[in-house]
Amino acid sequence: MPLGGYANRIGHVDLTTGTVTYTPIDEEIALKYIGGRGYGAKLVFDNGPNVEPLSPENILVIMNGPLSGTPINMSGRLAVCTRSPLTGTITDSHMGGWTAARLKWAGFDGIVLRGRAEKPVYLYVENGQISIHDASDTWGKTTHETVAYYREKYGQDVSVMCIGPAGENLVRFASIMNEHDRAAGRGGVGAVMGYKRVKAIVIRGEQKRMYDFVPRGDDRYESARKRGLKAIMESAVTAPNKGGLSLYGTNVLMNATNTIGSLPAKNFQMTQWDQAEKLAGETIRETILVHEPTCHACPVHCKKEVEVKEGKYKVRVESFEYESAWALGTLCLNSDKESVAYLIYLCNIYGMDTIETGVLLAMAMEASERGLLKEQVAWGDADKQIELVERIAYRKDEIANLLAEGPARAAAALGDPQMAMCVKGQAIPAYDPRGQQGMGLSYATSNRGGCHLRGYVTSVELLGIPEKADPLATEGKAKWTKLFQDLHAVSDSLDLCKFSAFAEGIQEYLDQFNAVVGLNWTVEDLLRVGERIYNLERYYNNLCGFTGEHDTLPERLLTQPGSGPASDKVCELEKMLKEYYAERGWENGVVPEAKLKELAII
Amino acid sequence: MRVLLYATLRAAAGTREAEVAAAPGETVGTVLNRLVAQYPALRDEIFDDPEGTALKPYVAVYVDGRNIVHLQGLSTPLDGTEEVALFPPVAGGSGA
Repeated sequence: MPLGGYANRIGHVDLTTGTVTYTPIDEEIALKYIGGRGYGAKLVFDNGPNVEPLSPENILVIMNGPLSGTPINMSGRLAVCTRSPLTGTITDSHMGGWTAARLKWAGFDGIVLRGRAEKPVYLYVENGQISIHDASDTWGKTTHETVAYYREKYGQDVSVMCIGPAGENLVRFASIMNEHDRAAGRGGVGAVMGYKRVKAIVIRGEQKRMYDFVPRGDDRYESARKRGLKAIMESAVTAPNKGGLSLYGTNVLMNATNTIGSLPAKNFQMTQWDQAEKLAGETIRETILVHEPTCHACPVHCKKEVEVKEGKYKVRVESFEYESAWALGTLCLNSDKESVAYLIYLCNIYGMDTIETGVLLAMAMEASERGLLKEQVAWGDADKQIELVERIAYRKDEIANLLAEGPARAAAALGDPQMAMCVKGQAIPAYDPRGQQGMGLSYATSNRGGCHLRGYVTSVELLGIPEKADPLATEGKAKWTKLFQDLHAVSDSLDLCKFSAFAEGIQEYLDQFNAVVGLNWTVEDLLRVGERIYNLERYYNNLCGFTGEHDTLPERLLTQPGSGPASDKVCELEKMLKEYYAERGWENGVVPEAKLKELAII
Repeated sequence: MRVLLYATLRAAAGTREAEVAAAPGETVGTVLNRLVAQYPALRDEIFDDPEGTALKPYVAVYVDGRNIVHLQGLSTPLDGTEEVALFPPVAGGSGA
């Protein structure tokens, strides 16, 4: 009996030859890696490590999970997996909206892009078929223009995944966007799509197909789905119009991290900032919030759409997210919410990761102040930020071309690699490891470089879910980091929104997974898959030359104390790292053969 | 002393911050009970019991940025110069 939840079809698009073939889901892979990130990572792994990220040989895998697009709540996520042109590691980036759902409703679990088209193309996906079309009409357009163009052509009910000018120009941190402002932002997945000369993927899927992938009426399924929904509706975090996440969006965190001294400011020279309130979720709700959109099957509505009604920053944009507001605002000492909204809009329409862009601009400000960058880029200069974002997206000049390589490469070229607040070449997000020790370990050991989503230890360090852990302490953080990394590998493979974890636990995930796919796994089985995925990714990185040497943090975080409650703290990484490797069974960041066999990776 | 309120607690009290009397040596619990006397709408948001002896799960109280669960809880003594911050359950972090 086929596994439930899957459409049982993957499209393989060879862009060099212009051919499309189809295969069913590989059941062995599905049972070992589920779908989404896990399945995608396995395909990238099988494609081999000796692949240049920006080459025809690299693959771009767009994958659903078995729960994506079903009536299971918060199941609107899609994974994009590849070898990153930013870090050289394996990477995956996820997007919300309705693209994941429509891909499933169109009859696909995933699409694998290989090769490189001779001229710009777009893909049209409908009813189990993928066709390749000329994209000369949209090449050069912004993401918003591209979405509008294809919706005009195919109807307003299609999803459009696309790149902007940054992806076309191979900016190493280019994103893939959908539904205008939803991003697969990290790791330069948009540059890989741009290299392949794929401007867009247009997907039509009928919503009524949502029920085709679940055993509707089955008691186990209905009961599991309802229990998951109940948890979300009653959680103090996610409850619609009551919980902090629902009311204020992700940016409810700005004041919280600032209070505990884990809000990086001025390129991580400070961990508290007296202007943070001006950008915080509470302020945004009181001032420029105009709409609260959501994703497929999600009652939380955490998206916060804002509008600046007049002036030079006049704009309407959906994603005033915590990380985006922090990176383009706090980290650059820009407390003007209107210009920050405009900067987020520019990153979205050009298709650039807001986190990487903000960390890059903060690095440029520091370099300018120190005379390493021969251009005046003052702290908090919003207009200069805007000018640079536009120049970088189009690689307009020598400095813009350098910055388009990302903060790590640019800082090295400017003479001080330590100015780039990155791990493995990817920018560190908005939780300072001096005020949150566990996040330091999580960043350092992330398989895709600096990332808050590999292991969201913030859950215990700030929120207290499932229990409270002192953010300034190192004890126990190795265990928490491993657990969250494995758990997120599972949710990213189902593919469920991670915010569901603020309401649901592993038991709810398991019950819904078992009911939809038709299995009788245990919690241990599910976590073992998470561990397998994390080790597979690590093994791929090992084969690419990454070892424990790369599991580190920028010197600043290890030697210079933060501010506020973290004023006498540096990140005590070494202590935690030793415990973490012991938890993982790794040898200096490398997965030993015995572990690979134990997890049935080889 | 200054007590800062965030997110839904701010909305419930109708203010961003409150000035609450605090003598040196008094505890966080005493100050919070004084706060809810001034802003009754906060009582059910913060406390799990009518007597004000237990915090609701996931409500966070910080004294100069340190969560009181890592100090002495509601018995944490104050000298009156600290800044107290109150948060309801909050979580987030953009998901790309």
